[in-house]
Order: sequence, then structure tokens, then C-alpha cells
Amino acid sequence: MKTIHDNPVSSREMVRMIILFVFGSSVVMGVNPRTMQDAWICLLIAAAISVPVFFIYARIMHLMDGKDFFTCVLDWFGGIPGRIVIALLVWYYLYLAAVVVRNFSEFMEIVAMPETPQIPMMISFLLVSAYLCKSRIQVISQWSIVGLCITVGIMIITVLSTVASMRPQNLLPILEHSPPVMMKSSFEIFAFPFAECVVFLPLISAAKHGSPYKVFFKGLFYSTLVLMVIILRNVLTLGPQLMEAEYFPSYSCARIMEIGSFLSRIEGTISINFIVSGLTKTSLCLYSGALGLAKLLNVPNKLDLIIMPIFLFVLMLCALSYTDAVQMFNFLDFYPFYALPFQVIVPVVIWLVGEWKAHSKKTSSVQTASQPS
Amino acid sequence: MIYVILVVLFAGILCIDYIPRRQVMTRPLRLWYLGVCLFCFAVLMLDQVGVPFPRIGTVLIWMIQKIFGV
Repeated sequence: MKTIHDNPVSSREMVRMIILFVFGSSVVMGVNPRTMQDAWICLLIAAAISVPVFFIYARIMHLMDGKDFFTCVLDWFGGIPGRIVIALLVWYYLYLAAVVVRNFSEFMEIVAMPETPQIPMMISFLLVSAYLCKSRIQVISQWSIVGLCITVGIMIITVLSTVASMRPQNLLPILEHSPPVMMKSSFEIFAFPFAECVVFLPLISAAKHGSPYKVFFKGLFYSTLVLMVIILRNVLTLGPQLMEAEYFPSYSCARIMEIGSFLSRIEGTISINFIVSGLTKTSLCLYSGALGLAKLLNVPNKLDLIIMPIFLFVLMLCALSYTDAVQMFNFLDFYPFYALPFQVIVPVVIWLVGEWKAHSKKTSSVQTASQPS
Repeated sequence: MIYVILVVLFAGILCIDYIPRRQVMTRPLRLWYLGVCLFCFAVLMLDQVGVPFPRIGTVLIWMIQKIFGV
């Protein structure tokens, strides 16, 4: 019987998966363009806010001492409370997968295939993700190596080919927005995409070697770097007003780039980025959700038996998630309020209970050792 | 066309995934598998027919507005 621990991945592969995961929808949706030319400052503030939260995630993994995440949650919380916590996380993971797929299908409908219904696009995207999940974490990690090379390569090409269109004055005036607006925007960037890394809580134990702190903080550092490049490229090329007005700023940025005088209209490359990183993000969400659901159903070693019902459930969530693209973008304003309990409150509760259990275990072992024989 | 795609998908899942693995599933797991698949398939078909299901985004926005007052 296979478990997650039978397929260990290296910590470097885990870092790559975190980068691709954070890259996920942000590559097309943009990184909160509301603060326009100050978005890069908000990104740095969001990264700073993420540090303590990532520390909590890593601390939870440290307390688990190499054991499976959901098994530990059940041990720490007991039967029913543990199952409620797992159910909450599973809901978040599966709905996040549905939202990412919906982003993809709306994007494809708006920019490329306005006459094609979204359901076939969702099915094809989700089927590939389900296949990756069935193939387990090792295959997803190997896919992420290829995916990261493709996405970073395309990102470098898009940056180099827009250099001629970049205007440094687009970054001015710096700090034009008020502190409350900047903090709100930073909070939104923290919730989407940084704190979505809560998806990695059940996965980090698959990295057999390396500290969870290093994995999370390296992932945070490199993904901040990648998002910074995306923001600066979009601001410098499009200008703050156009960047704020566009639904898909990265795509619009790619539309105006030219390589020499012979290669233009290469905006399709951005779609490739979205497909590659979006697939990784969806697969990781599905995989984490499947691990949790397998624990709830008490079939932890039979993950491949429950993937297809999960696939159909996510497809249903995806179809029922929004009325249209306008509501999808409106929901981004509400997303931090929806996501905060799953990204911060539930992990903090798990962390506190884990600390308490670890402390009581240590105390009882000291008492047992000090008793005279 | 969408109906055909959904029916083929559902039939494909049953024929390729469910039937070959039915023997290794316990009875509750089989019931759960078929229940979830049938429910999702029915909801997707009804949604395509035009039954006005409430959208999850609409419900979540309404709840957030009620709870946080934003």
C-alpha cells in the first residue's frame, strides 16, 4: 500500500512547487493592481506579513515530527473536533481548486474562445489535474521542475521583449496612496497568493530531508522575487492607470511586446504560463483535499479510489462558483475575509493545540523518568 | 452538446474507474463513490438545463457582508 511517505520528494522540489503554486493564478490575474505604481511596496509588506504565518506553518510541521499532517490533527484534537478541522481544510482546498479552474476557463473565454462553453475547458483542465493527483506527489514535483523552467523562461523572455516599451517614470510618484489603502492592498496580496500556501501543510511531510522552515521561507523569498518581476514589468510597460483598468494585465502587457520587427502577437505565451502554473496549483489543491478526505473516510492508503468523485465534485463547484467574470473579479475584494479563517485562524489553533500536546507529552515523560523504580 | 459531454464523462468514470476497482472497495466506500458522482452529475445537468442554483460566490459575498459588514 502506498502512502504519501512512500514517495518522498526533495526539499528543493518542494520549494519549486511553492513557487509555481504562488505563481499560479497571479500570472494572469495580476498581483492586486489597485495600488497601481505602489503595488511593489504592497508586495513587500505582504511578504513581511507572511513571515510569521509561514513560521507557524513550519512550526506545525516541526511539531508533527515527520508524521502525516491529518493523522496528527486527529491525534491532537481527538475524534470529532479533529474531523471538523480536517473538513474545514478540505473544503478550502477543494474550493480553491475550483476557483483556479474557473479563473482559467473565464480567461480562455474572454481572450481566446468566446463562443466555446466553459464546461469542456474545465473538464479537460481538471482531468489532467486528477491524473497528476493519481500519480502522486513525486510526479507533481517532477512536473513542477519542468513547469518552473517553462514559466520562468517565458517570464524572462516577456521581460526582455518589453524592455523597449518600459517607461521608468511609470513608477512615480512613489507612495501616492494613503497608508490604509496600502495596508488593505497588502492584506489582499497576503491572502492571495501568499497565505494560500496553507495547501502545503499536508504535503510538506513528503519532503523527507530538509527543515520545513527552510522550505517555506525559501519558497516565500523566490515567489516574492518572481511576483516582483511581474509587477514591475506590468507597471513599467502598461503604466499604472492601464494596469489597474485591465482584467488581465500580464496578458495585455504581452500583447504590446515585439521581438525585433518580425515576431509579435506572442501573448499566447502568457496563456502557456497560466496553464502550466494553474495546473500545478489545481493539482496540489486537489491532492491536499484528497489526502484530507481519505483521512475523513478512513481510507488513507487508497487515494486513487476517491480521486474521480473529488474531480466531479470540484467540477460542480467550479460550474456553480460564480455567475460571470464580473462576479469573479468582485469576489477578489471579499476573498481575504473568506480565506482568513482557513489560512490563519485554523493553522493558529492547530499550532496552539500542537504546542500544548507537545508540552504535556514532555512533562509526562520527565515525570515518568524521575519516578523512583 | 454539453449534455452529451457530461453523459460521456459520467459513463467513462463509471466504466474506467469505478467498475474495475469495485472489488477492492468496501460497501460504504462504494456507496459514497456512487452517491457523490450521481449528485454532482445531477447538479451539473440541472445547471445546464437552467435550474437557478445559487452561486457559491453570491452566497459567500452575502455572508461576508452580513458578518464583517463590508
